[in-house]
Amino acid sequence: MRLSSWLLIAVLSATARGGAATRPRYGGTLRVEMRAAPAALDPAAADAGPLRSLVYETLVRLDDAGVPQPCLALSWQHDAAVRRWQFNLRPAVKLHDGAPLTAAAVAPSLQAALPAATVAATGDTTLTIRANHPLPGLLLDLAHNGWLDTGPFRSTAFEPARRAAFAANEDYWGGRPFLDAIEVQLGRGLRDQLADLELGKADVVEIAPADLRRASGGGREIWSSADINLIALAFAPAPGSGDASRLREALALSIDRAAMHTVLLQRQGEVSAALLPQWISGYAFAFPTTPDLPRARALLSAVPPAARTLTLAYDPSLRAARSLAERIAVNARDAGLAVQVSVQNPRADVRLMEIRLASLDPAQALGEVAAALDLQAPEASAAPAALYESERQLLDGFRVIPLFQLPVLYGAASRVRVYAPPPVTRLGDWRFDNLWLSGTAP
Amino acid sequence: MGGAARDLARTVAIAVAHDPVTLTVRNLSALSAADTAEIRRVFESELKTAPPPAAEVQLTISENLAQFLLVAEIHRQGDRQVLLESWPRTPALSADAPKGQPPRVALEKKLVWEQDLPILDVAQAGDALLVLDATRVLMVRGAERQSAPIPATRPWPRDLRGRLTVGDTALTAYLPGVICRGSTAPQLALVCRDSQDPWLLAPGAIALFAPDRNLFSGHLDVEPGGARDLPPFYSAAPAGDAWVFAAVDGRAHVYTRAWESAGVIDQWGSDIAAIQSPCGARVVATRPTGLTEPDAIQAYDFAVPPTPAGPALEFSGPITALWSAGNSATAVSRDLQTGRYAAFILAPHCGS
Repeated sequence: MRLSSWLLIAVLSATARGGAATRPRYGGTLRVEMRAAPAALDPAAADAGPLRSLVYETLVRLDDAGVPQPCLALSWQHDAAVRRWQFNLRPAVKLHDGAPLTAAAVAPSLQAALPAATVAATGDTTLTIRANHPLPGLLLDLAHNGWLDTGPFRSTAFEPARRAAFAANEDYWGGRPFLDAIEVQLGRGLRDQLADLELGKADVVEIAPADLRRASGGGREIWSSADINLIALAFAPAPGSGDASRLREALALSIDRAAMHTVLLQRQGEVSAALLPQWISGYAFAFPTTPDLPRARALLSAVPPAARTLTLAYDPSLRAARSLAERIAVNARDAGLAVQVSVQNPRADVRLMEIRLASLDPAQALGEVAAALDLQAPEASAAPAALYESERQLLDGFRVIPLFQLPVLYGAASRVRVYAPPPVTRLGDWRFDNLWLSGTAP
Repeated sequence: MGGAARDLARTVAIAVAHDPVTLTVRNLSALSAADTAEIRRVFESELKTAPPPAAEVQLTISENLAQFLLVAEIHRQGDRQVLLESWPRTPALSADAPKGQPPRVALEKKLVWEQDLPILDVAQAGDALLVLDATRVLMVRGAERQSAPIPATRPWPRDLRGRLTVGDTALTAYLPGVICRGSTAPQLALVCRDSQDPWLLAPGAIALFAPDRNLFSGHLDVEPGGARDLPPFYSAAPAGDAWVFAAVDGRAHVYTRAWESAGVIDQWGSDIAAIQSPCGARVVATRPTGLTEPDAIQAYDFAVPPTPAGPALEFSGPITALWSAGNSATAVSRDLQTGRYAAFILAPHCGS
């Protein structure tokens, strides 16, 4: 009698679609596409990007608040002068070639990353880093340098600028990833990526802000980093005349960021006239973003009419780059400045650039952004007031005109599940070892 | 906060030559309205606000990852000056986990333990509570604590699972590829070894757990009936003259005692367990929710179609473990706000 009841259940429910299980499944290959087209899987390369986070790890990692946390080093201490540090390595970690992670194995790569210090193995799992000067920012340095191939995935194939493949690291100290493998197509345009997501040919793709609504249909999820991509206009670092200075300021004052943000960027990220995003600095709002056409016209009136022209180049692979460049030209024309837009013109007066933030530490991040824009290295200070002053000086003269701070957006197919969020960190690194695929055989 | 506000207010007063100002305050930070009011009060006490104003001061309370910031933008005779003060953020006080409503139905839950590390299972051993996690078995008896480590000879699989069984003073802890046996008296003692031995599914039923995964491989041995190979499953429960397996396809599969497939049940989660009670045996099951959503455990009477036996027991986060413990069940939930793990004993409450 009881069994007949169960059979009734079975008949009633057998035709229904299977419900989702809460427990993750092991197995399957995640198909990912991205715009970047790195020539090598070099963890130190600027375009290594999120691929690096699949394979490589550092002694410490930063949590979402920017606080150093144990990674390959379980603990550390330093002397009172902060000149000598000792790190205790996590036991039972293996490099991808199967060799154990020892202090002797770690020391050479750390030494290369820290040329101003001396790195020495002082035991199987302990190493010291010392210098003649204090190293108060060593943990931050170690969060971004000294990469070791101990990560959750092993690289199995790499075709420069075309394709990368990864397999689960069965011996990963944090537990074998749920996925068996990850296939990444490199150098894929955003439109092609979106089409592949919609056609079921890709599981995770990058999304342009304008495509957000379209990408989120069909049970798909959108993942987002924090606002980490600075979109800015950068003038060539050449000695400028007074007219050049007026042109730059007039251009800066003519730009209607809010309109572009609403229409072209679908309100993703934030308008900004600062190099660092508000969530990193806390003071970005203090750099005014509102246009001032009367002042722009007044500045241009002091420039000979024939000189009121600029050429603006953009990289077509950047998100919404062409639309933004053309809109900037329209704004400039309203102020009386003729801006000619072209694609990847190396002799252009000004370029539309995208600079990706790589550090959660405000001072370090500002230094990195300044370096990427060929600006003078700012004073290293963690105090917001000093940092604000450094940033103000960097922007003085309008060599760089910040426009927006944008997140990196990903669209994920409905079969992609997240075991432990986030799948993408604030800085846009992938945490794909915690993804799993529904409908995959275990 | 007060010191930074006073320092900045005095700097602003000097910057405006102690002339009257208009003051506007906005809060872009997580500080409360009361804090905002206090900062405004400090500024109003340091600055002259009587008309006519000679300057305009816009004060913004802001924050970054490490600090709170006070940013004063001073507009005076066409000039603009920005002044900042900051102070470190203090760690946010963790909120108490929301307390579940007292159940009025078949299941009652009793919170028995909380900790930061994932709890794999708990068990009552006389007047002691045993708690299993990835690193140890902890025995709690009143204020007394004893723990026995579980050595990890290799990385544990993700979504680690484990099970505790106790009998008199003996205890067994099952983890993927490892079995620990020991006793709770006179002292907690535990000996662990790598082992592919099967786990106890239910009285008279054992099953192999995959050593590098989060599931049972499908090979099981049930009395009577003998060894059997089924598709891999996450959990199982005897249901009278049938067995139910929460399989990896997201469905619960029903088998007869003769191991004939009797169909499937949808809309159950991947954790199910049997629970015995004076008012009849039941199957308890989680919901098919994600691991980032609150879950619930629902009791079903398997003698009738699977209509809920009563209101579901709601939890503040996902259920990460659910095991049968004879007359009760043990459940572990991860609080979505605090991230802490809480273990509960679920007892059937008859007659409500």
